[in-house]
Amino acid sequence: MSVVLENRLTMLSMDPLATTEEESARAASDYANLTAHLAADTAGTMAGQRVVVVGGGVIGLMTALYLTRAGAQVELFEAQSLGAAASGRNAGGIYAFGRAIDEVALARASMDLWEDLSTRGIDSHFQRPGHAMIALNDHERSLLDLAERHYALAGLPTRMLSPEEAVAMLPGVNPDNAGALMGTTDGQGYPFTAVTSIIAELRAADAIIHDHCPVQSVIERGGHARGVRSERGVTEADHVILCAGPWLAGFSESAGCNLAVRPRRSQLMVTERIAGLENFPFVSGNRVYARRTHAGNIMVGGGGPWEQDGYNVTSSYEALSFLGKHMSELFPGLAGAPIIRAFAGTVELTADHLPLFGPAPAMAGLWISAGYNGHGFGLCAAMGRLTVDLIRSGSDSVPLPAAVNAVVGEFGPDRFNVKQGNSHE
Amino acid sequence: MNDHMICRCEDVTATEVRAAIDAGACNAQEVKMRTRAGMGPCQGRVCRPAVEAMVGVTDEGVLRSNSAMTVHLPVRPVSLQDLVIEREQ
Repeated sequence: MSVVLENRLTMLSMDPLATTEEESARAASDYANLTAHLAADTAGTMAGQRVVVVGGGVIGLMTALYLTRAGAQVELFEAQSLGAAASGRNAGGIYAFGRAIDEVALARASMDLWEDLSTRGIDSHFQRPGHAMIALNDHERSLLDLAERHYALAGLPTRMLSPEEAVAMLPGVNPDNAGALMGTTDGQGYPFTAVTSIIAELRAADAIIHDHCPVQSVIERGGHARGVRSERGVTEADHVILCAGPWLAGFSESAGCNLAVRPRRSQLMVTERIAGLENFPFVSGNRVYARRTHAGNIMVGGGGPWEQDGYNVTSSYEALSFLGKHMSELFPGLAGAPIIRAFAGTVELTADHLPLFGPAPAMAGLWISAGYNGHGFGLCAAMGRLTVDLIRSGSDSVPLPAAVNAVVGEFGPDRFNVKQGNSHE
Repeated sequence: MNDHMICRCEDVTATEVRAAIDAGACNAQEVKMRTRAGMGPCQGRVCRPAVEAMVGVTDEGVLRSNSAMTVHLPVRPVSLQDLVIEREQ
């Protein structure tokens, strides 16, 4: 009887056995078309439009930033602290390598936008040290060999490291590794300074930000969203966009569709600052991932379906033990590194692991951007920028550009209503 | 200058904490997210009272939410491998 080797590459969302070469090649052309589209200057294209953004996580803030840069008058509402849920408690990954093939074009475009933002005033500590996915057995290695081919067709630069090269490039890695595939252009950033910097630019541009101020309802007149109601009273607007992550479900009635976004805990822990790891890339494998922050700490995470649903953000011994065990196996050289802090955040999940991005069916002028399944920090730049196209497609009766529709066309927020209708079968 | 070190682990001064509060941080957790105060090896055991006192002297903001800086495990730094709990199968 042969031994079944496990696949513990939990950051490999792409199934290299089910992905076709046509799909991979389409990711390359989608990226080229999207990049050409994003080169156009949006300045002034939304001049005179008043937009309310509901939600002050990184999705809402980035959406507000691009709308403001396009000339819109933006007013943002956050029920609690700005950038403090998943937005401030994530590992800071901004990458395309490892993503499902139909997310690669969008993820690459978002990395490019993050890089552009970092040269235009947003202090994100953005850098591209790459992402090394490490195999610990021959089965995982064979999956990485197949993945290498698909990502090459998708135009995403990768490099296969032999076990010896992995040891040389990844200090402390298990010397018995079976090689590593590295996405050489993958990026990362620091959520706290990114969020702080976006807030500062918004305020400088006269956008209005209300934190600790929940939105109570969306105001509708004549089939069109006209603003929101909060404890500050009525705020009139031409458009309202809901970027409330897992709190989106409370707006299902206003939106006229089932905004099913489920909260799940995700836990991380952080080592002391460790000297000598300046070129450490993002690493993953053996059910965990790790990133070196700009300050020099190593963050270790690795949630999954075993985590509990809900908004509980206390740390559990089970998770810390899980992370300690798997990270020590992957990087025996770091097994003695002191952990100074453990924390948890809330990831937002949808049933099909695709975001909700598009118009709400109940009324014109109501839009949705949420449900990013743990990829929100990386994708927020692209989604914020594409919201300008989305809202213009409603107000100017300009159809959504083909290059945009190619990457967000399956994200319609009303898609779960169809499934509901079939549930009696 | 007459500046005080608030967070010795992360080298955060009173001026930086004040700037974070002036920029809109209305509780100690929000100060931490803006300045890194409380994020070093001692995890706020030294700076927490000072940060909370500084936030407390501002006007309306602090009344709007809890001013506590989040307390995280572990109580003292513990090595990665020592976190592992071996369970009987």
